[in-house]
Amino acid sequence: MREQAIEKYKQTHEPFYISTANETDLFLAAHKTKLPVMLKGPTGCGKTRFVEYMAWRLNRPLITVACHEDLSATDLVGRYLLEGEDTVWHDGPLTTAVKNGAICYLDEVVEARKDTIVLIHPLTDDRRILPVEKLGIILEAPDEFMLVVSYNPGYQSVVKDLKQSTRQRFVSLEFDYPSVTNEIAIVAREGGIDEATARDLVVIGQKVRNLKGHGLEEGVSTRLLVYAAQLISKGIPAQSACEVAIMSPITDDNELQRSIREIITTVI
Amino acid sequence: MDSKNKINDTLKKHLKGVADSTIENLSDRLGAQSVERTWLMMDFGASLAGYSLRLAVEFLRAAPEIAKYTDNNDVRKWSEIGKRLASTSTDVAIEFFQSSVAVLAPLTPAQRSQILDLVNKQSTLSASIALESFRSATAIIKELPNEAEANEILEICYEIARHSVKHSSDLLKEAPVVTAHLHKLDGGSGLTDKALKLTMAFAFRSGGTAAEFFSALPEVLSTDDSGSYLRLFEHTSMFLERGGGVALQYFRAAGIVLNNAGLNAFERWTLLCQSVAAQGNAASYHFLKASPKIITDLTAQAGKQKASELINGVLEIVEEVGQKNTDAAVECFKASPQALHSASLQQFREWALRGIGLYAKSTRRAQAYYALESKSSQDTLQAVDGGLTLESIAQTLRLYVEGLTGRVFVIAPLTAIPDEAKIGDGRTIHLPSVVAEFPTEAENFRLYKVLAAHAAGQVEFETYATNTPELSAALTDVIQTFVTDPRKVAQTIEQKIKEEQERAANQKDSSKKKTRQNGNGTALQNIDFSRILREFPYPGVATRIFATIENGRIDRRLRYAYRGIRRDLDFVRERLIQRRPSITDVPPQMLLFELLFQIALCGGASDEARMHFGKIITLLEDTVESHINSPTASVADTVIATLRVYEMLEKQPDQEQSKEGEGNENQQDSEGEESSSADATTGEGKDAADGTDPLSFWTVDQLSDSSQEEKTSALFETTESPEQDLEPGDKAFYYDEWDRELSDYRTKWCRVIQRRSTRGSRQFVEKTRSHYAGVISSIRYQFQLLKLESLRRVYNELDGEDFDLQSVIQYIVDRRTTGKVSERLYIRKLRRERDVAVGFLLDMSSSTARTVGRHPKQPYTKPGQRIIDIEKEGLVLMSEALEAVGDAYAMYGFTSEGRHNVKFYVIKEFGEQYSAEVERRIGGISYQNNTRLGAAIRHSAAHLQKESARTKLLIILSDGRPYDHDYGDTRYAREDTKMALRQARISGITPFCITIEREGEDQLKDMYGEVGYTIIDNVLSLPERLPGIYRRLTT
Repeated sequence: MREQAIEKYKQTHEPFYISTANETDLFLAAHKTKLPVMLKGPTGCGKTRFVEYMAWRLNRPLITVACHEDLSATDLVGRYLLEGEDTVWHDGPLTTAVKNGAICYLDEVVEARKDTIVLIHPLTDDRRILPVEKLGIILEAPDEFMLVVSYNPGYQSVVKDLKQSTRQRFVSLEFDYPSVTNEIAIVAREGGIDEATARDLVVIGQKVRNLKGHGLEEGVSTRLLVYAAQLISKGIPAQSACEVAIMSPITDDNELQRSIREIITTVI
Repeated sequence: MDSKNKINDTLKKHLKGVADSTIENLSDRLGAQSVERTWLMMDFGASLAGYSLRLAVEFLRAAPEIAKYTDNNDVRKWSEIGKRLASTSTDVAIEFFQSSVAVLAPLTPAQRSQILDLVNKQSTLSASIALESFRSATAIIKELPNEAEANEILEICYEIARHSVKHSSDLLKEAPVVTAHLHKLDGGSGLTDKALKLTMAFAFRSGGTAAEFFSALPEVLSTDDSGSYLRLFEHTSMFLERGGGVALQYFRAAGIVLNNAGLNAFERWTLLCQSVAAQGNAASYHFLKASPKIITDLTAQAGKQKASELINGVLEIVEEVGQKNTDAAVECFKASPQALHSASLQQFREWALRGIGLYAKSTRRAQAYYALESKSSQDTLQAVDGGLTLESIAQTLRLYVEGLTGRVFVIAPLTAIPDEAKIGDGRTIHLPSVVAEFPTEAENFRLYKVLAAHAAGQVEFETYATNTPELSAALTDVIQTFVTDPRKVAQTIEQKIKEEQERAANQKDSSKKKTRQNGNGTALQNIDFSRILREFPYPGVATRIFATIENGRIDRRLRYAYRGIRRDLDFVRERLIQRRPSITDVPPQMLLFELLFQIALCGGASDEARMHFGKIITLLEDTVESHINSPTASVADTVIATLRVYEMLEKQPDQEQSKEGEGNENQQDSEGEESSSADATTGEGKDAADGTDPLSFWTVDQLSDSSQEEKTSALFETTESPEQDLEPGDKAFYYDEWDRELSDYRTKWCRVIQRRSTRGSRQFVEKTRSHYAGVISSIRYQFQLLKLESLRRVYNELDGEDFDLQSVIQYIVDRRTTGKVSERLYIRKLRRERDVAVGFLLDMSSSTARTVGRHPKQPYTKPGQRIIDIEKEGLVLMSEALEAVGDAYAMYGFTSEGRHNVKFYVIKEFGEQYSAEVERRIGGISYQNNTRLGAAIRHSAAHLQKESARTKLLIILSDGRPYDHDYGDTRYAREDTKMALRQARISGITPFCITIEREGEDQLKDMYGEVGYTIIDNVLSLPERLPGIYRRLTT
């Protein structure tokens, strides 16, 4: 039964991913040498997709945990639940991953509480263990187990910064938006639209990213471009697709929105 | 013989000690005259001997010579002058006599007499000036064009000399230059004559002013429009009736109006002047003084070409306003440069007319309205439906362009709408301050968008590219074309390289540049389009052609690169085509430019043009399109296209002769005879570029315009305390202020200068700490209790980290007994923090220097405390408390000296550690000046606004009512403070005022009533009570 449960975490088909540099090789090497990996980069640039792809390449199950402010140690490790007359232990995602030698991916790890983050420390050095306090056991991670965290340095809030003691446990891979050609290919494929339209969307993306720092906290992500493409492929007019998928999500500022709208109508 | 001896004897008697031979000589000469004259001279000589023997000798030596040219009367005058000079300085007198012959001999008798009169007059006041005028007189008179004028000028000088010697001599000195200038302009119009008559009138009316008027003539009469200047003289002479000073000022100001805006504007402006003058000299003085600046500002805003149009427009409106109210007219004229920065003429008119009614209510209000100080005034200006203003969309456009290009830009306003995008410096985008071309805002915006897209296109498609291989090739091409001898080409290039290298070497950083090799030789450096355009024989013409073609290239590349912008480009192009003049109305020298414009930017020449100039259009089209109509055309392609068109212009004569006739049939034949006119065209082109045609808006170097615009600042801030200079590290902020009478904000009225507090010693803090040691420890304890644990257990949760044992037991019991169970079994740890940010605003005005607390019965050895020190103690205790509880806090102090100098001291900023440095700053707090509370509150609120805390507090420590120089009456200050507090509250800040003013609680209630406040009766208890008040506020 356990085996079946973990099967659902396996990638059944190859995720679409275009390698931009040597990040796949690095990742494979890290896996082989049992090093934890940190993925840095702006939101929606393909970090999650990369992990999925690597999990497929390595043929390991992938357990993803989206971190949030109230994510507690219990949420990660596991807890007792009342089931009828019994109290039953339920593994948390991290425990499951360790037990099954899966890849555990903690998305946006800065968001997690500091006391939670400390929990992964023993897993990320050469001990590779996970103490499960409530059960009174210590789990040793198998060789295949790998911890991957993602981290968006764009936030740069003083409150939400990773401590050095945490940061320095990871090999860090830098991500950025794909190159124009790659991004066109991605948007065209993922969004199911022709290349010319994809090119327009990518050009809009490029222009809007120019505004980063001049009013925008973060540029428009590849993901949003793909969303726009998907809407277009479903018959939504390009301009309104761009407005709902590109302009509105990234800012609430009226003037900025208008500027972006003008950029959209300039390109399309 | 007898008489000669007599002379000899007399001389000897009077001139004792003079050599015999000299006396002999003198008496010889004297004796040669009539007896009467001789004795006249002898008599004078004798009296002069009293001053100096030498003087007398010089006199007697010169006198017989002088007498040859002059009658007795003049001789007497001449002698008198010498005597008068001698009374000041014998040296001067001697020089006078010595130079007399040379000066007087060449003149006509009338002139001699005049000169003597003049010098006589001058000598009564200043010997040295008199001598100077005298010696230079002949040369000057010889330089003057004719005798009549010379006489007139001498007469004027004489008249002036009655009042001011300096001025009369000035006028004399300037006379040749000025009259020469007048003659140049005259052309038979009688200008010179009128000018001299007017100068004379000035001289009669007010003496010295005449000289100033006279010397202003060349500057004022700077164009050759003598007709207008005659009008100017007429008006000036009318003003002269009001006084010389006013007339002179009128004349100078009027000259600027006339030269910048033409006769029509001048007449209108003069009408305005006259109505102002009717109010008295003070008013006209003020008005005339301000006018030149207004006119030059307007000129700078519109650019030279459109200045006249704009100024006429403004004056027309002012005239309209003036029919109803002269004051309003003057005020709105003054405000026009500022208003037109952000509004169209149409808006300006509406705005000006709407303000008139205010005079009926309150003059002060009306003035504020016209000075654009009140917010409603500014709103009115913008709200009038007069098109879309740049101000309202500048931010959008800036972001738009930054998005397209990824570069940072500045957007600068222009008062006129250009037909083509301006090619600037690649960093500034010049856009019209208002667009009212189309009926709807959306359409107007499209025009803005197109102009902005062009600016972005210039960057994206590299108009400013430098040193690309294509540009180098283009440069060689251009040089080859214009250096006719092929052998010289290489030589020319080499020479240029050398020149550039030398220049580079002079600039020190040459080492890198010099060593750069390219091909077989060193390449020219810094090649960009402007560098190449300078190689054309007529750079002005080339620049013009280049601009149009380059705009065409950008247009095409935008179309290739962006599908969407095509719609907007087409839309604007449609408009451009509609506005094209009929080709037959285009002046011949502009014809080629017009055709080029149509081809480059309007999608091809109009049918009408094609009918008349089919052949040349085909040629131009081929040239232009083949070079720039490609998705990769670069600026070098434009340069080459420019070269080709330029060559056409040189070879192909303009065809105005044939245009009336039968199209283009004889253009080939007429080449020979018309080539001369082609030269004329090119020669004229440079002027045309600065001329009045709307197309010529563009020139590469027009950037100077914008720098002038920046200088347009408030014109009439004289009565208030001036802005003090900023010290290094200061930051200035501007805030609005509420004017109770206007019921409106005065915009950007107060300047708050933020600076680091001065450092004092830590002693104060340490002393306070030890003094209040007991209180501090109890405060610390109390505040530590306030500090919440960072994690709080929440019971009875549906989900959580752990079971809550009590709930689980209850659950089991419930299930066994009732079967009804609660699912809330878990404990959850929640983070809950105090989330408070507090700013303290300390009144540091000089009223806090007041001493309180000395008990009347206690001896003077135990003095009271200054209020400021009590406040400081309060801060010390407060910071202890705040450090204990861990709230974010900041401490500010303020004083003010008028609205421009509200000083805001940062004692401790949010996020700054409470360090020894902060303690020193607390120690360094001292009192000065006044309390402009409103501005200080606004600035503190702006600081607090940046904090992310949920609760934001602003605690104001003040000793009483706000007061400052130009802060109105107490009511005004109170209302402003109230308004500032209200604003703060609206923006999510809780203000709280602690005051020690006991009197006038009603007023306090009025001011602080809407927000919390407390009055501390016993001032001395403030430090101890402050933490308590704070605790109450935050729990």
